[in-house]
Amino acid sequence: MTPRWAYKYRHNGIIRSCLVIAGLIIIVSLSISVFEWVHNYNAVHFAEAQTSAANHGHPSGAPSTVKPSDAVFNSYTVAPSQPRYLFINSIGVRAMIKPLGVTTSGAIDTPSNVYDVGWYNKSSLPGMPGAAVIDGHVTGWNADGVFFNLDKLEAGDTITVELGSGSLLTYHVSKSVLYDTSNFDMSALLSSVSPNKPGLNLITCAGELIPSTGHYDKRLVVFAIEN
Amino acid sequence: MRLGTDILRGGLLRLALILGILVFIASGGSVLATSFSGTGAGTAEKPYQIATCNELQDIANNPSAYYELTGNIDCSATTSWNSGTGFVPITSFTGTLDGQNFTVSSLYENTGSSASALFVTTSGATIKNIHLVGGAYHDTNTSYNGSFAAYANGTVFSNCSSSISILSDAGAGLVGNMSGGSMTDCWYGGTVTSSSSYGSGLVSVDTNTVFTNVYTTGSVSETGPYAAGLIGNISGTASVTNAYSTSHVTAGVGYSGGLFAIATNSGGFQNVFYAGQYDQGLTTGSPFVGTGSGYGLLNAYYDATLCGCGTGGSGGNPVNIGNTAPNYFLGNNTNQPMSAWNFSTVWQTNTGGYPTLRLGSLPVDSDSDGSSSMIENAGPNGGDANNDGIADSAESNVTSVVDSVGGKYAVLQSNCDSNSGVSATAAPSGAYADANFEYPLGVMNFTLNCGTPGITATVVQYYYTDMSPNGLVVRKYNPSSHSYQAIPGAVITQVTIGGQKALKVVYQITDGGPFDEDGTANGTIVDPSGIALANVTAPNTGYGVVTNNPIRPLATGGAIAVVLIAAAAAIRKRTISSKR
Repeated sequence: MTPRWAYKYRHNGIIRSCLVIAGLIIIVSLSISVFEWVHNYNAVHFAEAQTSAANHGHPSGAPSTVKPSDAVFNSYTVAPSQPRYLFINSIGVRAMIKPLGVTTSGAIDTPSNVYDVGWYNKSSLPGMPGAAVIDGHVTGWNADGVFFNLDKLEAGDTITVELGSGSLLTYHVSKSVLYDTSNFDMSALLSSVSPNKPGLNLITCAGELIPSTGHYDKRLVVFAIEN
Repeated sequence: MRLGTDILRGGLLRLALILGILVFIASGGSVLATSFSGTGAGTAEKPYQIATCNELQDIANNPSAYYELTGNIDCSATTSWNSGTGFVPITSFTGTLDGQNFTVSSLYENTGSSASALFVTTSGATIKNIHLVGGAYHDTNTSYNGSFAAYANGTVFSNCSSSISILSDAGAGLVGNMSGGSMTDCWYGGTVTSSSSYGSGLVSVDTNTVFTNVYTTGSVSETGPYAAGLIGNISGTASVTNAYSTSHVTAGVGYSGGLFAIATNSGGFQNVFYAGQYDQGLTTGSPFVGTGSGYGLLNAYYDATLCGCGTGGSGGNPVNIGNTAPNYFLGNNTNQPMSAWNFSTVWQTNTGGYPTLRLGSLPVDSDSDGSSSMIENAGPNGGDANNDGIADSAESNVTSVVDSVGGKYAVLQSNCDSNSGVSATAAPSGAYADANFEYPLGVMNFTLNCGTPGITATVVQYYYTDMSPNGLVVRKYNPSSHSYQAIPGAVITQVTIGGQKALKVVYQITDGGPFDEDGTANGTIVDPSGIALANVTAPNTGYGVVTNNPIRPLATGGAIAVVLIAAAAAIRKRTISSKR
């Protein structure tokens, strides 16, 4: 037979335990919330700082989101054999084509402005055997990029490249392929989808953002063939 | 006194034992026998019998004796000899080595700043009927190096060959520096990569030697001066009769030549042709002789289109200028200079191929696929490198060759009548390199003789390597436009044949289609291709900030806390009620 005072003390102990645990949970929850808030603030602030730096002409890890003026667009020049402008009317693309190499980590470089596209200078010149590779941003840190609607292109859509000489090369879309970044087919990107004709391969990011990097987990490639 | 003597004797024995151990350690742990370890007497009548790679190394113990091979010797274990430095070049050889037409395969040396060669120096020696297949030499020795000898004085070489891959500061296919003596019925078919001077297919520097029936295939690459497909510098009374090279020569600076970089030999050149690609680089040179004087020429020609070098320079007559006669040499014995050559006992025609030397009594190529039976029989899986149950040397559409990049075997199998012109060489470099890809196993050049115009042939290739197929693709190289293209539908898998790992490549190609080098439906498919690894990665064209809701953790924790507090309140209420 358990005495009554024993119940009393046991109930008091349980009550104290519940209150202590509740207090600890509140403290931990509050800490996590504060941490998340700080993380969000830092991430947004970092992105804004990077974009701001890029917008002011300073090299940063982000592309500029300042749209080039018509004057800048119209006065843009390249060598006669190199690509100057890219036009894709069906998705409203009208962009300067900047020649690009590779980054220090070995990746094909990207344009410094979300409204420009880049021609990889170790790929074929447009109109020449092989494939010309052109990349463009799907998004900047806080703005949509020139290839935001690249996934809307369909087989048969027309793409036009204007060379530095003023010549126009027209292509038609053959197909679009979505690749996992971890299993990307570089050989396909660097080859014409039709071995007999010059190709034009457009690439941009797609899929989901990877939280740890702020980059996307897939790549979209649109394969086009010269008409 | 007796006790003192015993103590002294015991001490001396211990001292001798310790010295012996020290000598053993200093020798890198290898056993240095005091005489030849095999059978025989080392005389002309009863030569020492070499049956193993260790016994080949034992020549060092008696370098003036007579030796002969008793069978093909596998030296692949030399990669782990002497803490990885491999076979130790035999310092001086004055004896006779008769290989009896057997092979020494996969010989490996990594000699650092010392010479790499089977023999550092030979003097008055005879080396004959021996073939070094595959393997590799690596050194940083700026003096001379070569498969057989770094220096050969008054030495007679006959019926000898090598396909050892040589990566050296001054490398030659067979001999580094040769003086006097002769070389007859010998050839080199590997890759010489040299980074100092005198990278040459046959001999780096020669004076007064008589060369007869010699040739080189494969490639020579030299960043310094005096690159040559045959001989870097030939002088004195030296002569070259019946010789050719199809080597791809990539020259660096100074003088270079498709065949000879410098020639001042009074013996001259007779019945000689060059049919390789000659990348002159920054050198002064020509597809025949880079520079020189006083040498005579008789029936000496080169293919002016194949070499990609025009008609300039000195020595030799150009043919096929502007690709007007691409078949001038092929399967022909009536065009000049072939009309003056001896096709009865010295040269032989090859259908769709260049003329080749008969090279004495050696059974060169029993299935006429361009790869010698000796090389094919020494291949993996007992000479059946494609594992179809038939020796590769007996199948004209299965050709096994030694890849000149790493000295390992590569195999071409087709469903056509025969293969020809098969070689596995380093991929083009410099301006002609594939900008976005590396070719760790080189490229395989070949011609398929299918007979039926427009046929779609199945190509199967085996590259003996431990490489994984992950990330690899198959690409075609077009030597005319120096362009590259992925081959659609090509499949690469890893297989194990005869206990060795290999990459198996399968693809189809149509005669006259976009991947047929000659571009016409003529029953012949020409298709250099290789396994490539991309050296660039996809661009990163998207950015975004991933944010988390900071209220959610607090809300969740608060809810749990409220539940706990409510539970505590309920217990307290029950406790108070029970007290009443």
